[in-house]
Amino acid sequence: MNPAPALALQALRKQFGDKVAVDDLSLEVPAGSFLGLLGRNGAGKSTTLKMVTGLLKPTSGRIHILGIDLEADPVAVKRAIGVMPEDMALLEYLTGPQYLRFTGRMHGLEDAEIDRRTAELFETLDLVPAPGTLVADYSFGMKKKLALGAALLHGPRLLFLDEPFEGIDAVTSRTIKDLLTGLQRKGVTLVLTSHILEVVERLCPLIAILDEGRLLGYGPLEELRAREGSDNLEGLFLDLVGGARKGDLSWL
Amino acid sequence: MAVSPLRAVLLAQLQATWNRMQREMGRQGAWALGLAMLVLSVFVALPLLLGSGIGGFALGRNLDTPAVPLVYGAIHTLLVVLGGALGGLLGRSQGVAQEGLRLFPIRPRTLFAANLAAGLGSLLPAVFTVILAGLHLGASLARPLAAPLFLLLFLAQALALLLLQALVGSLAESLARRLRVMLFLLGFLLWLGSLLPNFAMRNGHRPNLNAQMEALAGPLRLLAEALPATQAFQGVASLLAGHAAGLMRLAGPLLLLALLALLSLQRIRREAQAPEAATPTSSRDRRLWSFRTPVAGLARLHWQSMVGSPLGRFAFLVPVIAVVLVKGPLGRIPNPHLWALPAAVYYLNLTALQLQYNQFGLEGGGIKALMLLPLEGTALLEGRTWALLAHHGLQLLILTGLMAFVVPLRPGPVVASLAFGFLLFLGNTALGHLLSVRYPRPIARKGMKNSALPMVSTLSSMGFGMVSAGLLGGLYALLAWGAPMLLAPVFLALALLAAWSYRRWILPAAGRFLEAHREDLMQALG
Repeated sequence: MNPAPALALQALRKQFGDKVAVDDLSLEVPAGSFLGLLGRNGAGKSTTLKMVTGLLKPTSGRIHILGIDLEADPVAVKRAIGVMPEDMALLEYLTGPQYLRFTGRMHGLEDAEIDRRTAELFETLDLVPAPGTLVADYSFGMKKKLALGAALLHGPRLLFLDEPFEGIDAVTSRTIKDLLTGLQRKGVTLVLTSHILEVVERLCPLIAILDEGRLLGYGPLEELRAREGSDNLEGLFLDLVGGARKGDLSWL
Repeated sequence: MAVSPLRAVLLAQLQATWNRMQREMGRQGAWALGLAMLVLSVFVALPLLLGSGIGGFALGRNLDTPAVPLVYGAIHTLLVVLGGALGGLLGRSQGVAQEGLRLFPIRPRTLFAANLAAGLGSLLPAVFTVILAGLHLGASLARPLAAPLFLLLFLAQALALLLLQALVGSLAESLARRLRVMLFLLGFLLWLGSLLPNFAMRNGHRPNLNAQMEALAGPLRLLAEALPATQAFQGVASLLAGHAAGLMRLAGPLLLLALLALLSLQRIRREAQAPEAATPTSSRDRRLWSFRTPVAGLARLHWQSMVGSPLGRFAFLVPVIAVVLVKGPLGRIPNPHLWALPAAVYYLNLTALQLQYNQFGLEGGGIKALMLLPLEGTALLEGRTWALLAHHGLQLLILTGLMAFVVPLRPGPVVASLAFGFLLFLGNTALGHLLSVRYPRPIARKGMKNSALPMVSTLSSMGFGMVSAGLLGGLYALLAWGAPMLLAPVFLALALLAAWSYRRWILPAAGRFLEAHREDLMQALG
C-alpha cells in the first residue's frame, strides 16, 4: 500500500473579494519529495502556502497534510510541519535563543532538549549573535537562518519554505542548500517557492508552475522539459507563463 | 516536563516586554523605570486595596439591607464595564503580537487565554481589578462564611473585565475600519444621551434636581436590579440567610459570563481568519503628489498615513464621544456654556497623544525612504506638524460643530477654547518631536493593537497634561470668572506667541535633535 501523500490539494480556491488568488488547484506531493513551486509575482504561490500552513482559510477545496485533514485538525498538522514564511514572522523582541526556546516549548519539547538542539542549529547554521542581541537587531541573513532553525527545531516531516534564498549572501545560501539537501536525504518532504530559477533547478526534482492562481504545469522537471521542448527551467517557465522580451530604456 | 503553551506564551510576553524596554531605554534606564513603576504601584495599589477593602467590608456587613446589593452591584458593574471598555479602546502594547503566534500548533482557546491573561498588563484593567479585589476581600472579611463565594465572584468579574477588554478592542478595530457605521452608532448614542436629562421633564418646565432624581429612581432601581453583579450579591445574601434558592441567582451571572467568553472567542477566531485588507487606490492618492514644497509633500504623505490608519480614523469619532459624555453623564453639571467646550477640547487632546508622541510610528520600514530624502530634520518635523495640525484641527472643528447643537456657545469662549486646544497641541507636538525621535515605536497600519506608547512617553504626556491643565486650564477658569471679555484676546495672544516660539526656537532645536538621533529612528523602525 502506498503511503499517504505528504501534501494533497483538491480543487483549492481562494478568493479575495472579486479577485481569485488561487483557482481550482489540485495536486499530490509524494512523501520525501522536494517540490519547487514557481510563478510570477502575484501568481498565488504565497497564498497557497498560507492556506496549506493554516494561516488562510480556503474559499473552497480540501487540504490533506501527511494524511491529516487540515480543516479537521489544524493543530495536528502544525505539529507535523515546519514553516519558514517569506516575512519570517519572528518575534522581534526576543533574543535568538529565547525565540527558539519559545518555539520549542510551543511544540511540547523539554527545555534541555531545546537547548541541545538550539546549540546544534546555531553551530550548523553558523549563527553567532552577540549575547543578548534581539532578533530585531539581527541582519537579514541571520533572521533567515533563525527562521529556518525555528522551522526545523521540532523535527518536522514536511517543511514549507517561502523564498528562503531571497536577499541572502552566497555563503548563507550555500549553508541553507546543504541543509535542505541533507533533509531530503533523510526523508523530509520539502516545498519551496523561489524566484531564483537556477537554485530551484539544482535543488528540486519536482516542479509546479502557477500563473494567475492556476496550475500550468506539474511533474518531474525532466518530464516537463521534454514535454514542452525546453532546454532549461528558465525556458520552460517562460514558455508556460509567457513574457515577451522588452527593449532598452530610451534615455540610457 | 515540557512547559505548557499558555505558560510559554506568557513567559515570552514578559521577556519581550522587558527586552523592548531595555532596547528603548538602555539596561539601566529599564531597571530605573521598572523600579519607579514598582514603587508607584505599591503607593497606588496599597491605598486602593485598603480603600476598596473598607468599602467591601461595609458591603459585607450590610448585605442584608435590600439597597446595599443594588448599590454595590452598580459599582461593580461600572468597574467591570469601564475597565474593560477603556482597556479595549486604548489598546495595549504587546511584546509578542498575537498574529505572530498563528503558525504554532496551539489551539485558538490557548491563544485566547494567553491574550486575556496578558490583558492584565494594561494599566486601567490592572487598577480596576485591584479595586475589585479590595471590595471582595473586605466583603470576605466581614462575612468569612461567604468568602469562597466572594472569591468566585471576584474571579468571574475579573474574567468579565478581561473578556470585555478583548471584545471591545477587537470591535473598536473593526468599527474604526467602518467609519460610517461607527458614526451612525455614536450618533444614536448621542441621541439617546440627549434624552436622559429630559427624562423627568413634565409639563414643559424643568423640575429641580431632587425631583429629577426621584423620577429617575424607579427606572434606575429596575436597571440596578437587573445587573448581573446585583443578582450575584443578592444570591450571596440569600444563601447566607439560609435560602438555597440563592444559588439560582448566581447561575444567571455565570451564564452571562460564559456567553461573553463565547462571543469573545468567536471574535478572536474570526480575526485569525480575516483576510488582509487590500490597500485602496483612489483619486486622493494621485492628488497626494501635487505639492509645491517638500514640507507640503511630507505633510500630505503623513496626513494620508494618519487618515489611512485605524488609529487616525478612530480619532474622528472622539469628538462624538466627547459630546455624548457632555450631554449624558456630565449633563447635570450647571453652566455648560462655560466649561463644556474647553473640557471637551482637553479630552480631545488627551486622545490624540498616540500620534503626537510617536510621530514616526506609522512609517514602519518606510522610515528608511524618509531618511534617504535630501532634507534636513527640521523639514521632516515641520511636515509632521502641519499634518498633525490638520488632523487635530479637523477634530476640533467637528467637536465645536457638534457641541453647538447641545450647548449654547458664545463666540468669545469658542475662540478661547480653540486657542486653548492649539496651545495644548503645540506643546504636545513639540515634546512629541523629541520623544518620537528618541523612543519611536512602530504603529500598526492595519489595526489598533500594539499602538501603546513607550512608558517614558506615557509618563511625559501625563506630566505635561497635568501641568498644562493646571496652568492653561486655571488661566481659562480665572478669566472666564473674572474677566470674560479678555478670554479670547488673552488666549489668542498666547497661541500666537507659542506659534512664533515654536517656529523660532523649538522646531530648529528639534530638527538638530533629529539629526543627532537618525540612527535611533532607523534602528527602531527600519
